[in-house]
Amino acid sequence: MSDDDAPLQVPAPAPEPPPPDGPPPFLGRWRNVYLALALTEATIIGLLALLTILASGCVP
Amino acid sequence: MTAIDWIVLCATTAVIVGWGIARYRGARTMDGYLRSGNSLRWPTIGLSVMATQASAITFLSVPGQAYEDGMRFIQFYFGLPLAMIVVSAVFVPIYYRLKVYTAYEYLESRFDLKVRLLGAGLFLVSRGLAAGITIYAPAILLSAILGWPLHLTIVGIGVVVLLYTVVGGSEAVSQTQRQQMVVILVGMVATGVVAFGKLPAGVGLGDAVSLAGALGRVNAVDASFTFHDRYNLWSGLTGGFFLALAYFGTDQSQVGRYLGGKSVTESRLGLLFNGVFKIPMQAAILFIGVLVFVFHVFVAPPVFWNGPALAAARASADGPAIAVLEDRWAGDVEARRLAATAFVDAEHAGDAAAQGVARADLQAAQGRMDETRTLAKAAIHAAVPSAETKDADYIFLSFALANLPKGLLGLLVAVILAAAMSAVSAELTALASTATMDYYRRLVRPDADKRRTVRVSRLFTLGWGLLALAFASFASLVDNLIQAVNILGSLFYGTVLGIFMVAFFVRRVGATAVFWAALVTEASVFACFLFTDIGYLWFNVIGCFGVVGLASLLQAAGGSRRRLNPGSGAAG
Repeated sequence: MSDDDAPLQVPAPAPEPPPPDGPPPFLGRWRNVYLALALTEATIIGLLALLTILASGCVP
Repeated sequence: MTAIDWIVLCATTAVIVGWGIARYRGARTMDGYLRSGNSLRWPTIGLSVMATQASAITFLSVPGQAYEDGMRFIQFYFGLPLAMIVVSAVFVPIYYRLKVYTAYEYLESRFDLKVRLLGAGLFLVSRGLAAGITIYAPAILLSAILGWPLHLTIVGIGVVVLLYTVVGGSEAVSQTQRQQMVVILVGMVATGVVAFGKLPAGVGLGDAVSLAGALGRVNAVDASFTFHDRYNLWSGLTGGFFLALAYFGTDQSQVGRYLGGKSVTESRLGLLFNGVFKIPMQAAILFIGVLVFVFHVFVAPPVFWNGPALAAARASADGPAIAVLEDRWAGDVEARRLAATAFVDAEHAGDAAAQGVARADLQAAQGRMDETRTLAKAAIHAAVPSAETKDADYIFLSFALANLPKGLLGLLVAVILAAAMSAVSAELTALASTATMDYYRRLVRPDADKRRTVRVSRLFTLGWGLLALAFASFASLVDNLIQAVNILGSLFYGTVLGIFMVAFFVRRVGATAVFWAALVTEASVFACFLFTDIGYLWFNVIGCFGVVGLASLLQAAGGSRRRLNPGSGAAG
């Protein structure tokens, strides 16, 4: 059997990447956005706490 | 109000309302009328969500609360950004996938019809009552301070809102809210600048913060824990989180705002916009109240802020006793002013010892003022039993009336009306959507075509509006208006949130278990409200966990014999 008679080689589909360890990504591509919002909130609460402490006169 | 104020007020209101009617009068499709035709971009959704929550009460009541109680109310909002994340991640994609018009439609697909009707019914009761307060609150204050007739003010606000809400539906509401929110932000910034500018020469922003801090008004974060304290860091983060989760995730007046988004992404961005800016906005409004407080450290405030009630007490048989208390008050105010001046001078001189002495004098004077004010309130109540002794809601408007320049007072009243209209319109359109989709189209006329559905929805909008007007006309001034709305919401939100939490996260629980669990929990929350002094924010936690826990128990008890309507598990 010549090479011409050989069945057409269809490239096999690329194997799916192995599943990452741990649970599937719950938040997906939004994870970093949510994280940024949580950090922003933590910063705002921290600043308000600082304002409270400074205004109360506890820190000279 | 001067002629300029009237021109500013009428022009601002007429432009927004006229634009809403002219632009959206053709909203005839069901999708357009009830869900904004899925056309909204995230800035409109974000501003609309903020405007729906920020009713007129926010701008009238919150500065007064800061004046009386300091900035601690800000902690109420600490759970909100976290709730925005959960709503964006969990609630929004499910609502979009099911293409629902109301949040409660999801409950039928997950459980059954009776749970859907229960959820929708709890919403209609709580929001129907709240809509009355939303109209009544600004009307009573505007009528008392500006001398407008109360019933005419209520009817005026109601009719204007109904005009564009009935005509344009959900899209008109969202788009006018964008304009209203811009007016609100501009008005509040201008008012804050004027309040700061009114401080005496030599008293800067730092001095104002120090003075307010010495008198306990800059108490934005309180890390101490108690169940009975309404506002602290922990009740804000947990109770506030559950309240915000219930409000933004299951209250149709908010769900309806972001369901009109062009896509899941637009809705999410709109909600996250609210998550970022809500706390700074509320902190700014509270800080305006703190500035008003500092202003009145140097400019004598009245012993009682409800002017008409004070005047009635002076004119009564108890007038002499009131006069004695007012004299005592004047002495206390002067003592506080002198101590404040010494405090600021010591701060400028960097004299820590003198500042410590002045701080003690300042706090002592404030203590005497608080005592005199308590006595005066009791005397006013004795002289005029019908007079409400809680006067915090009058503080900000009284300050504005006496101190804002021409034109700006009109803008501030426009802000108050814009806020009232934005909140009421969202409530009415949500009440109408729920009544139409969850009751009329589900139980009465399932075969109603879209044109008929829009017509019925318009009628429901009108009906709920008239009901809210009737309720507003018979309401009376309660403790603090913004608290009244939040307490009312907290009585129901926890239970509704619990139903949704079970739906999303407890797959094995079926309809009957969650239905009975919700009824028992709702009764328990009312019992807590009536017979305990637990802070109201905790009702949201109790309601939510009560439904989740009890439904799980009931399911476990009944599950061994039969599986109780496991539902489709749309959310997994």
